[in-house]
Amino acid sequence: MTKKWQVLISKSHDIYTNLAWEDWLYRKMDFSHLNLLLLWRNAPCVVVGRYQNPWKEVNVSMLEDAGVQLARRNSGGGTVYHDMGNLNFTFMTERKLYNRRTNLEFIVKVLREKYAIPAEVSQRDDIVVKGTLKISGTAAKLGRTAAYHHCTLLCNVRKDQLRAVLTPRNKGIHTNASISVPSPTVNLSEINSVITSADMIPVFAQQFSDLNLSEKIAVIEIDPSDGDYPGMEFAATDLASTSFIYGNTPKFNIIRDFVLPSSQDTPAPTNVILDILIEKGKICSFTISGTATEAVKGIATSALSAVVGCDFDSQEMWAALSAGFASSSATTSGTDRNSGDEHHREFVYRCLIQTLNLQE
Amino acid sequence: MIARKRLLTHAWRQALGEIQPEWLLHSGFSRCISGLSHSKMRTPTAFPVLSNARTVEISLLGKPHWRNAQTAAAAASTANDIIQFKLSDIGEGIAEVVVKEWFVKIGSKVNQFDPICEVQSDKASVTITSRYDGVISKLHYNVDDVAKVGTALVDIKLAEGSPTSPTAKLQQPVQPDDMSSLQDSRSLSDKSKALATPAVRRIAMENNVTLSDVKGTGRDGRVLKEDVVRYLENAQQAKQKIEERIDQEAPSGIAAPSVKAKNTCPFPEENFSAPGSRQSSSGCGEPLKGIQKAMVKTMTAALMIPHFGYCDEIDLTNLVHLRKQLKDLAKSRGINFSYMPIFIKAASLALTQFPILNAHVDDKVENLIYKGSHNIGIAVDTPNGLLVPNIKNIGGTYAKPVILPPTVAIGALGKIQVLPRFGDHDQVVKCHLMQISWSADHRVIDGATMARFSNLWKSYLENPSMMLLDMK
Repeated sequence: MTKKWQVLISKSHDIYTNLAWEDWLYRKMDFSHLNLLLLWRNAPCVVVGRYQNPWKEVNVSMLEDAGVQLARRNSGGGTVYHDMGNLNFTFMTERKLYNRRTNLEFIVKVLREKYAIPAEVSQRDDIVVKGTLKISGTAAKLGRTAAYHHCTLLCNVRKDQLRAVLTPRNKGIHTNASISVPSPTVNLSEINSVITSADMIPVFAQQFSDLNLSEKIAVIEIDPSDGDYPGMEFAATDLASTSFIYGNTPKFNIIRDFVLPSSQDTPAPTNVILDILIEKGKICSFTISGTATEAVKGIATSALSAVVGCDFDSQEMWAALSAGFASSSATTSGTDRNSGDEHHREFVYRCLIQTLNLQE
Repeated sequence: MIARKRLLTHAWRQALGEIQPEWLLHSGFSRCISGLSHSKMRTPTAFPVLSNARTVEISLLGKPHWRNAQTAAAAASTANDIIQFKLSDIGEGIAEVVVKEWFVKIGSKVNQFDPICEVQSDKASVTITSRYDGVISKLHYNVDDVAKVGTALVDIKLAEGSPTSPTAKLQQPVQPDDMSSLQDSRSLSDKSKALATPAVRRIAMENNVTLSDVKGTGRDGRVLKEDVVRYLENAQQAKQKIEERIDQEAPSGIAAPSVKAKNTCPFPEENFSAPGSRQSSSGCGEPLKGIQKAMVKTMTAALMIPHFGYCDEIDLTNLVHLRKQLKDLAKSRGINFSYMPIFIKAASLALTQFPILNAHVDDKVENLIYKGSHNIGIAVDTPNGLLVPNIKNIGGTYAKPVILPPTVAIGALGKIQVLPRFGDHDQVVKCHLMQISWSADHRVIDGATMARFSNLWKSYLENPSMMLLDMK
């Protein structure tokens, strides 16, 4: 039986739906007689690799206000920004035919021949122009019988937003998670002003079709949510859940060292070291060390105890921290209160906020 | 009665993985759906149901071993063989990877093709699957360790009889890369992240459903039977399009006039409120959706591994009478008369005439590998009948028996029901009827063969004395 080739264009612009659809095809189709090219675009979002740390890679706190979603995909590789100016390709085949370079060479060929873009495939399997300006990032997933390689193509994205979300605030994070290698990027539209992602879809579909001369390749527009992919909607909901996106973060520590100003009790400066362990996205445990007094360490200990068990960076965590501050202020009222203690308390809480906010 | 209980307990323990069986283990009740056109549609009426009915499944395996026989080609392991499973070449000139996640731990039972771990190299995330059946006895790396290609990844204590030689590779059938559904169907461990009771897991496994695909509506997101059922109803509609497509493309398959199939599809007793609605061209099940999308979707869907189903009704009245006669005799000998050995024997006899059902495909679906001996697996459900009444209550939903690799065909026997039928002189007689539904890999088995095999098997069961004639 000859191989069937299909180009499937997703009508959805929801990152979770598209990721779930892509995963569904990868798991359920028999690729011994099938090659697929998926073409898809998403509303603004940031996508991290399967075992990456979003806080390490992304400015998580600005996402909600900016209206940018966060997603975790199943393939490896680094963090990327998508919006409608970005075109995603997924080349899905049987495992034996997996070949990233061939796929990327195909894209480069189209860019050169159709759009006069002097693109080339780099050593790291990115697509670059002028040697260093990246226009595409690549990632892949390999299983026993099937594999896919997907990549982005920066046609005309909002570069200001890209830069903002991909500039993380991650002070203090210590992790073994795979980190992204940042590179300067450029939009294709800056090189050739006619280019838009929407116009490129039919061109790439046509060029892909022309690859296989013996059989006409089917080019089909798909609405992934139309019920033909049982289980996919539920998978999309799972992909959008905090437990998947944040809960799959490999365990990491936040370690900060703060110098306390000298005071009546301690003429020489002292320090307090906070080491917080976060596993599966939840605050697991912590240790407090350093040369600071027991009183100071005690404040830190009781404050952090209030957030153990909370999802890191969640509303719950911040609420617990504030509640802890309020209640400890009540206990130091009255005759026991002196300005030194009060001073320490405020200082410790400021340090905690800085720590948990991952800021300098 | 006690002997039977012991038999069932033994089978149940096997199901739990405590005993390594030669028989394929999966139990439960499945109804058939069929993509066939039927020569006769039965007019639905309501029927009473036997309360203490029991369910049995028989599957025809392609595995090369049967009790003490061993094929010459594959050297089988003995007990306590421990093999080092090495990290094989991933390609792209990669020499080392980082272990990112383990899907097993020490003591986990694994089957060939089950996922073991996920490793990453630069931009690729790779799922490493097991080559062997057995139990994990050692993990050589921790998460975040760098693993060199060619070094040992895990140690596996091989299951008895597990082929270890390279010829074992020939027997790998083509499978969808649905790692998680293989996981759920091949192992009863808690690898699935979805919460569900063993009974629900079984239903999911029967029907090749990945539990994590199903939205659980129970407590803590628990997946309930109703959730699996709802999922199946949706999947049913998608799959019916596959079958319709296959029917259109291969009309000679099942509807061949030479096949004398008095086949009818079982209808659940509760659903006879609308007798006319069952007369759709696909046989039984839900009416099809609009055609406008069918073209596009079936093209995609048809490229999934194709199954087709065949179902029939077997009149076991003679067998039941035989059992009555022999029961006392058996009791005096201290053995329990069960239908099981008769079903198996009949299947074995029928197989000699249809050897293709005892074969399976290689990777490219180019070669058929015929097995020398018959390996017939049996699974027995408990008499508690957990699955039977609940699936029965679905209302219009049929589930196909799962074809688990390396099988090419699988049969599911329904419960034995006492139903009225017309006798030779148009009088009403009491018949003991059992539904049988077969599911087969369409790449290997054509409908006519399946039907003929089923008819032969059926004739043995309806006329037990015939078996004596054909025995060697």
